[in-house]
Amino acid sequence: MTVDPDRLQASWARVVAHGDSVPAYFYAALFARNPQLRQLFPASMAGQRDRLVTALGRIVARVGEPDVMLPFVRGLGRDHRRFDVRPEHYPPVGEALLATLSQFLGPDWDADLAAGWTEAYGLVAQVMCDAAAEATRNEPPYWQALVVEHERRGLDVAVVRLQVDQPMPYWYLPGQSCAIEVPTRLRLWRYYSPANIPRRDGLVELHVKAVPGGEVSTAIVQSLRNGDEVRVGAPIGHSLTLDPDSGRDLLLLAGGTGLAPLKALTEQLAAEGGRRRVTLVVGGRTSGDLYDLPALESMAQQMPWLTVIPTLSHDAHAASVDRGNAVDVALRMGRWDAHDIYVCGPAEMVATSRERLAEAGIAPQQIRSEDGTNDPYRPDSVATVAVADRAEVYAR
Amino acid sequence: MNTSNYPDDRPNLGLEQALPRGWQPLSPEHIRGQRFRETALARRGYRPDEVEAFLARMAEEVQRWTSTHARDLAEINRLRGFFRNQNIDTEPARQRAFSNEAINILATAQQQADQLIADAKTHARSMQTDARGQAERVVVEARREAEAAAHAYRVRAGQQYSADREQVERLAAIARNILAAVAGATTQLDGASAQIRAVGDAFSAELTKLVGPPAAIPAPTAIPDHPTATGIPHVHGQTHR
Repeated sequence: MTVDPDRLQASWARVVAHGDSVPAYFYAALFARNPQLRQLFPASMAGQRDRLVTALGRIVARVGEPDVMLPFVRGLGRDHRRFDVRPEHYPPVGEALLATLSQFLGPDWDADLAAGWTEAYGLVAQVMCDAAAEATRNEPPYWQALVVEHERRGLDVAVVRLQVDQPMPYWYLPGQSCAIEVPTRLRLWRYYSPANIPRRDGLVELHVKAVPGGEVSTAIVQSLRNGDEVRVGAPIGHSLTLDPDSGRDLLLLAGGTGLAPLKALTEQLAAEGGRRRVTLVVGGRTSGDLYDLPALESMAQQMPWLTVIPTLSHDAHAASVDRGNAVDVALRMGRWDAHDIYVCGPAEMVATSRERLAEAGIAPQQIRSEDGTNDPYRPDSVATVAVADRAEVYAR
Repeated sequence: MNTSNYPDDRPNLGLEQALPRGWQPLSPEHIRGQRFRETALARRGYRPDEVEAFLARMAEEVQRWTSTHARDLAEINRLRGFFRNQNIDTEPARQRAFSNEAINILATAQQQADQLIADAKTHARSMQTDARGQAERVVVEARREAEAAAHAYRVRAGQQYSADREQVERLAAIARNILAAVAGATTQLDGASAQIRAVGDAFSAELTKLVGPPAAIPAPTAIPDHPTATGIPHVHGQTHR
């Protein structure tokens, strides 16, 4: 690269010092000149602003280290396919970016800097386009899926079954999550984890809790109907997948709809022959939160290696249910030093569980959990799973 | 390089039309690789007829490109003139200045929209959290009273104890609780309806002041009975606090 990385980085630092008005100006410039691009974005641009600055910041910070920067940019390119980004969208974006830089740099914006930024942006756009084109040979930008069953369970949970359209099979590892877009909240993608192992018929079960004030989760629980078409992005994440080298027994701690990926793991262990003992502690506040108990109990009956323990933290009078947090109940039950421990649930529940387990002397590397963010745009965790990996867990 | 050889200024300028079919362009490699055999008497030098033939071909080639280039230039100029006459700006878009005024207006509008959406989300969050808390309290209270009723039954049943009867006591307590909760909610709803009716009446009165007696309003009685029929979109929001 002929551009001086230090100059680029210094100019970017001066621009971002202007804060929120930088992305605001950028998007306004983009849409003023290209109104047709507005429809690629959600109604509220609030979340979008941080993402633009963060992504650009990461690229600029690594501009002198292509080995680090290029994989990130390639991930961006692959991931942007589901936002319907096409090669012809890149020049107007570059134009708006240069206009923004020149606006905020004022007299410091010179021909040298302009040439440097133009070259750097051209490279990024090229790498993103190439990565997108390459990824499209292996998998579509997103899969279309039909809602075949939408079942309200209690006050704020829905169990949704999707039939994923399969021109290309929808494969994932249990524990991974997929971005979902529903027709009433276009351009807003949220991650959900399938509660089942991938199936040949493309059926995916999702557990969704209406988060208070949550735009997408509320729409899914309250207004999604059978026959609605939703979009499903490529599966991502490896925090909650099974370690292929481990044969240890497992402790699974579920909070609310965090049960979904843990249920999928249990199905995977069953498909692998049920050679490991599994203790699944399902926690909730009140009895309504144990929305999937009948299904879990019937699994436990069929699978002698599986123990299901329902627990409630805020329901002193529920019959036949342990009281307390999932983690406290588990710690009362015994020692878990030799187990693989998976925790999934609300961020607070995950944090508490990690703390308690650490206090009980359990090594952090024994514990697997997600980072707790539901950012529809986290390309650093985007990873295409090799087809061979996926075939291994394919339901028989 | 004489453009006057091709004065006709046809609008369509496909190379495929300017060149004969099956024509193979002469490549630099071809020219560089061209070898001439020596003359029969073994003197050093090339056979003049071959050299001449080759030069002739090169000349032809160059002529062809020159004329093609000239036609392209003429076409570009013609198009430039056409766009100028039509007041169409052919400069690349990035060289034009962005209108800062338009951009600032758009940015402000978007920020206001974002704020409204954020406020709506906050409002929805607090309503949902309240509702969930209330529902939880109703359920927990019903359960507590069910257990209390079951306990009371066990105490007073003595020898006549039956597990079925205990369960009936439990369910009856839950039913009483749920009925009480529903009655409470209905009272709240009635209060809300009264508030909506009051707003509807006030609105109707204001409307009468503005446009006279409700001749234009087909069914004034519809307002108290069906408050939402007033079509005031914000009435709903006002009734919650």
